Amino acid sequence: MTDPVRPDKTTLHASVGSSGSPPDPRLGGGGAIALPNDPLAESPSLELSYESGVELKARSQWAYARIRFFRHRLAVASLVVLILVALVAIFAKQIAPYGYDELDLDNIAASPTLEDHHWFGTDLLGRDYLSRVIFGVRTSLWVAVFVAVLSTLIGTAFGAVAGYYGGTVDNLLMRFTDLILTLPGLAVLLTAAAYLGSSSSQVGPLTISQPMKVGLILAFLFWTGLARIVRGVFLSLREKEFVEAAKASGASDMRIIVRHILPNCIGPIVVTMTLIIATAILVEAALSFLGFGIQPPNPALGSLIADGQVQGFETWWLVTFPGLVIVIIALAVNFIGDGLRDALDPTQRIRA
Amino acid sequence: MLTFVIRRLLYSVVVLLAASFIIFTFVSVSGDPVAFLRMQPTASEVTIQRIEERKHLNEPIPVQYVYWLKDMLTNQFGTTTIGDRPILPDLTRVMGHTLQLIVAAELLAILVAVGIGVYSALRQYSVFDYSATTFSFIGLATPVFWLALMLQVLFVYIYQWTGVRIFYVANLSGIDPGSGLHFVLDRAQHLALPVLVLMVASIASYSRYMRASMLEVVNSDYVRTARAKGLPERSVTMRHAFRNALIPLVTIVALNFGGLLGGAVVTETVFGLDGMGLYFINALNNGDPYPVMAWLMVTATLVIIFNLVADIAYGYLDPRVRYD
Amino acid sequence: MPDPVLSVQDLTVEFNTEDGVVHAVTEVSYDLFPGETLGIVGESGSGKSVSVMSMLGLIPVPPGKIVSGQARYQGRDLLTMPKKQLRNIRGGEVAMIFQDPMTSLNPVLTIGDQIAEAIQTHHPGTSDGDARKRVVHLLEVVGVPSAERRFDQYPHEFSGGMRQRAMIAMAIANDPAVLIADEPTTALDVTIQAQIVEVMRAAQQETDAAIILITHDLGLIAELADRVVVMYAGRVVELSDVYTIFNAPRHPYTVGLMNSLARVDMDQEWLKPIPGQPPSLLNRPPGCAFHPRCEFSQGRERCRTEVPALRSFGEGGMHLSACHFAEELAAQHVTAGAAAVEASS
Repeated sequence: MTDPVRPDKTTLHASVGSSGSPPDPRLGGGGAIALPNDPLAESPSLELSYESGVELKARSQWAYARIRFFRHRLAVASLVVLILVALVAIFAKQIAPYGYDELDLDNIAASPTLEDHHWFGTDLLGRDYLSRVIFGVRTSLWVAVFVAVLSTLIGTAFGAVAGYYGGTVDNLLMRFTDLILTLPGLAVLLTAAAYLGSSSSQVGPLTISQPMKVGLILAFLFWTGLARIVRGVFLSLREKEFVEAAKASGASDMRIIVRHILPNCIGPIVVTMTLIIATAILVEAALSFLGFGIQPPNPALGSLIADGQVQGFETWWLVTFPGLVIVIIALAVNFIGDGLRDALDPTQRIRA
Repeated sequence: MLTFVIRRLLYSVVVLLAASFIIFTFVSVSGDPVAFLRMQPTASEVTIQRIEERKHLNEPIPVQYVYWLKDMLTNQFGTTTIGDRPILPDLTRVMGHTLQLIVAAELLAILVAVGIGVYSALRQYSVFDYSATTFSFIGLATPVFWLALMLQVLFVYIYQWTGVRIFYVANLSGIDPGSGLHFVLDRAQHLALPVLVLMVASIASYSRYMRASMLEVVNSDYVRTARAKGLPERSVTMRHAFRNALIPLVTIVALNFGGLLGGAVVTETVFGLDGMGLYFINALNNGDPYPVMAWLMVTATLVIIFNLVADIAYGYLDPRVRYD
Repeated sequence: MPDPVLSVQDLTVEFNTEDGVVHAVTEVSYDLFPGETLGIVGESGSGKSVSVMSMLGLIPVPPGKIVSGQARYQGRDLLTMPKKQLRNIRGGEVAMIFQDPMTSLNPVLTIGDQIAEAIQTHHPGTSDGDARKRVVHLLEVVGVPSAERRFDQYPHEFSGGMRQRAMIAMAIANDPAVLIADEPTTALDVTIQAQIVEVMRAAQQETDAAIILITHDLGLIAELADRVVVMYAGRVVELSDVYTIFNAPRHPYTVGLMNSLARVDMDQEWLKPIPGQPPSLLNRPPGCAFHPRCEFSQGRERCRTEVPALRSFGEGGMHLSACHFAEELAAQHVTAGAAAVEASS
């Protein structure tokens, strides 16, 4: 016989504690639980005594998620790393020992050394590589975040509408994403970048810088994935009773979407957004490497690697360091994404 | 089953046409095929005009599109703007090379990844499991082109230190590859590194999914039933767990195909292989839309066929979705 | 009294989890006699499934651990038997039916193949043709229509009730001496449940097997069981024949169960559930695990400090109860559950 008084609530965190001496049940009992509409409240012969030695502490969902996240040492370490990297990127001008284009003609093509802060060596023109990498990180990072935010916004909007309204709207969206997905991603991006993204443009009073254009192109491809996920959640939740209840109490569609269903998507959305950041960094680097991404004079890690290719074997550091930095950042972001996934959606339990 | 395939193919044709029209419009509007020539002081006005006429560049775009479509279907996928070179022979040549690369990489990747995934699942939390997971994470965070470059550097160093050429770092074949077995070996030596590079990303992804799938299956009720029946553990693992765990991988592999092509583009560029990737990059750099369009259409068709095959394979493996 | 075909003695099973040690089964003992149906009743988490699964070696051994006890099948202890021997017995002489037939059957293999597999594992050398014939016969015994055709179908092509019949067919395929049914009707519609009861009777007739019926459904117990074991928080709290359990239970928990039954033939204003919640197996209350919820305990010292032993009660020695004050109960109660048993017999 399962207990009818208190259905399972998964957000309760059971902390095993000592219960001390049990209260005298004849006095009404400490911890007697009288819930509204509790039939037991009206049958006088029974009294509840204490819960059997287990104290229940209710915590909010977010607090619980935070606890779960911080249990992941890798994710936490990655978060620290990423914050450091972000700080370096934001304060690039102050931190970098040299300017992006500054020539140090005494030290052309020097291998990495501790002198003169040339920790990453210099390139063929004598420019300090550490500084160049730092500036490259800055660009790559903000473009990646830009892509993630933009594609999340677009994707969520589209996915919510398609998932909630279904029917023709949904159909159209699916056909559209099918169209986009028929072609291999990189090819589409290359084509778009080649034809559209090679210089900055003016749209009225706004100047869209070239890197931002690259970001726009990337976002255009990435929002489809997120839209699918959001749509999936909406489709499954649309039929649930709480939506019916909201409708019955006169809530508008918009309100239902935003206040009732959307909060359920936050988990997958945040996780996907994190993964998009990682993917965006990698893809943008590939585009820049091939010459179709961020164009000079804007610094980019991919172009650094491409330029460093020229004498790849004698000047190995020109190729190695930017790539290593990309790997570290992408790794950190992926670990954080993994930690977030465990924290926000423990039912998935794909223990990496 | 047959109706399913036919319906899918018809639908795909429609999608292809729609996509091609959109891309063609995009490409035509944003680029001028003869821009390159116009910038050359040596190109005569007459030459330019002749090209314009031949390619109907002065007509409205829908008309251009129809001409292009006709060209594609009847005249060897059309010709390049400058030089009027038929596209099809070049395209088939490079496609063949790329397919060698991709097929080899994918088959090997699947074999290795399945092995790693299954073993990781069966020995969860072991040293092997943690190493495999670490490798996966790193593999997924590594840019393909960078890995290619690193391997190139590494093997050049090996050559410089030992004088032995284990794998080649550029080109498809040596100067004089010979024929038969000699040719195959030479090709293999040249393709080894590119294949390795492509495999890394695939293995990183597939092995994780395989592991997750295997774990889920191993803890399922029907595996418990199989054990309760008294089956030997080996039978339980292979006949009941493994077969079911393999099913989701089909979808993953299908979804990854586009990414694989992208990886091939980059890898071929770094290793200087005469394949579709390099062909595409060159066409883009030349600003010539016709080979670009032809390339996109061929690739899209490949993706569609591959997805169709994957769906059929899925239906074969999982009786719940048959007779779609 | 013939020798028991299965005898569990002082079985104790624990699980080592992140949050601590879960005492799933503690000092559980019962016997199973040939041809009888023994019901094991209890709430979720009472340890009824774990006791049985650990006997068959079906619980994952880390984190699970069989701390002590014996489980003798025909004289041999299953818990210390070499794995290979245990495997032979499992599915052959001792077979199990699980709760949810949809997830308990492999979706990519045909029903026929899965049942035949059970046969061919325990009778190697059986040809495919012979196996097929036997499977078709078994399907007919359990009442699956068009058995010949159904052999080649997949689980998703069967209805819920039919799938459970197929599972039963799989379990009796090797003429087991013991048939264990773990919540066989819980996942099914009520109307189908009645049919499955019939199927189980037919299965028992076909094989003369002794059945262990694990369930929380008292109606099912009333229908099928000869004797009943009542479990709570990992321990046996009462053990007797089915009439006594329904008519004259001698443990407050059993009394509570019987009182909570919904009765069509009586005027009831409120359903009378057992108050409180089942205890966490991580941290059981000291003394009698039921005492926080026990009406009759009334906070008595002994209940709070001393774990009651399972002792023989009344005449004949076949009625066991784990309550310090079982005699007091005897004086008080005749429960409404009695009529349920009368109605079904």
